Amino acid sequence: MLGQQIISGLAVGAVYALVALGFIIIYKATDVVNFAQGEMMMVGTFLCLSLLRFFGGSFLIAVPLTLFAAAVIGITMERFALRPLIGAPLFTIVIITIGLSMVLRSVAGVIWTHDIFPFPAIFSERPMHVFGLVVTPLTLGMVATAGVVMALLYVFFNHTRWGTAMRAASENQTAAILMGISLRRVLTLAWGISAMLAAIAGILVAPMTNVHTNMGLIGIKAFAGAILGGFGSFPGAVAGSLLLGVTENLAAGYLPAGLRDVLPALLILGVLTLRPTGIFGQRVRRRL
Amino acid sequence: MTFMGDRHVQGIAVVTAMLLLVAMAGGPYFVYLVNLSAIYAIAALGLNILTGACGLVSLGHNAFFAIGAYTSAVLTAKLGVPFLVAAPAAGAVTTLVSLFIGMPALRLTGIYLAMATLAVGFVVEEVILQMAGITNGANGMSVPKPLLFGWRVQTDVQFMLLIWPVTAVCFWLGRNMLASRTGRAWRSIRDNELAADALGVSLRRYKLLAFSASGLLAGLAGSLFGHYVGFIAPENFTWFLAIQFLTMIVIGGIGSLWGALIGPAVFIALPELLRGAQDYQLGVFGLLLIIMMILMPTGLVGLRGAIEGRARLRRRTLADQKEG
Repeated sequence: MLGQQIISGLAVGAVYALVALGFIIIYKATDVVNFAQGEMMMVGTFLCLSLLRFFGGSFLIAVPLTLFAAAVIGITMERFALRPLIGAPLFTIVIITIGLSMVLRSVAGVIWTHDIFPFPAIFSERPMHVFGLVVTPLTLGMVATAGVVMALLYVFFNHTRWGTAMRAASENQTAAILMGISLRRVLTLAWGISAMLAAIAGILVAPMTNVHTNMGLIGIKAFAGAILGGFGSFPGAVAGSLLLGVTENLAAGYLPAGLRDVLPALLILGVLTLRPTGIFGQRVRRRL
Repeated sequence: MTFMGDRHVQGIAVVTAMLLLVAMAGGPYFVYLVNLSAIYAIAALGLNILTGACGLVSLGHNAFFAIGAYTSAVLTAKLGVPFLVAAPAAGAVTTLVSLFIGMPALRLTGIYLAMATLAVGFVVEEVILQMAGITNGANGMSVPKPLLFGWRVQTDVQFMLLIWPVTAVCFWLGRNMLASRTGRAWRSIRDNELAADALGVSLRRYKLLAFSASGLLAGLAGSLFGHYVGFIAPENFTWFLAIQFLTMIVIGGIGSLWGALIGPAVFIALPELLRGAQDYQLGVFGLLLIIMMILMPTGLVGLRGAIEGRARLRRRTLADQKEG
């Protein structure tokens, strides 16, 4: 029982981690928390549902198309809503992302209505026995997919030209521009990748949560996961999200109703009291 | 400077008089909206002190607002305490809670503080739900209308006469604090914490002061909100409210006194104007928010500076051309 709960916690945590990585990629490029991250996930999932219906349930066609569409949406948002504000106060940009989340939710409601739709699982949900534990291919698939995506991100950021450019830009924007890195392309890439990550996360988690216009609330949990690990650190975001997912699942299994719902919040408060910049966060460097 | 010679005092007096006149001409629903924005303005002022002036981001002001509302509601409804005692008591309780939260939060900065306060908001919401014995939990509780010296405040206009003076006093006090040594200390912490520390500004003292002032104002606003609306439930105080407060002060102008007054008014007026958009209301609102921020990155208050700056630039350019 305990083992199973930990495994399903890890599966949900892996999904949070994907969204959390999206948060961090945008944060590293722009210093801004994108409050529309959860809504980007919601829209991506709805898109996939529509594409699945259109193509007779074939994930092989629907998923790549969804990823493409999600990237286009993310890049469009950056181009028209965020780019005019390069250099504006951070609060202003945060409010823009809040505005974007409202627009996305409203548009999704108009296109797909505010009803709750079931979502087909990309991996089978038939339980099977592995090492004495009952797991479904879906939970294993969630963890595995997230792992593969993370590995791809690692390769992209460390072994490709544009990944390196993005790291450089987040380290020192001015120096990066002087070295000939196009900040615009960095921003485009950040929003495109982030939107795709959100869509993948949505497709993975939707069989459990269903698809609806309030699905974006998962974004808050992913944000919490990223903070837990130490905002800005990729391994931290993954660890924090997994910790949050497991905690949530264990709380749901063993704790009474009231405590169950606040345990994640208490976990965050506890961790931040002990480590003010998250588990893997570096100490805030103060510069005069 | 004499009290009545103070430009801000005159400004507050003029705005109040204008509102009274317009509101009386506009009918009860309009007065309702005006009152609601006055209540939100108090809370927004509190957030603007903490986040705008002192630079400490809070996404947990829904919690302070809720604590104020529930304290006042429980005191008046369950214990029969008069409004004139309950409302200040609500402010006092919220101040204590915000100090209690501010103490560990002193170590946190930026986004971590935002997350911690967000978490506090969730915890407070759950605590209210669980204390069903006195708060009625998810069912919500009704709040009696205030009784002032034997007069029961009931209609919207009567409430306006109660709420607006409170708002005006809060803004006057807030303005004095921001213009004083305290305000300078807050801004120095926001602009450069290390430099402020080195110059002898006690970070601990002024951050806690910002927390408590902010909590006091939010709690007071919450108390007024409960008595005015007459019914409160935990769903009135979700984290979305905290986001709304933040949006209000950024629309108005972060760190600015007037921004905290204008922001809530715009925030309340816009959705009303967009009623006709129906299904698209939220989307159009979001779109307007984006457009406003693109056109006025420093909020409505910044607009004045921008126009003045542009006029100055124009004058200078013209002068240069003449010389050249």
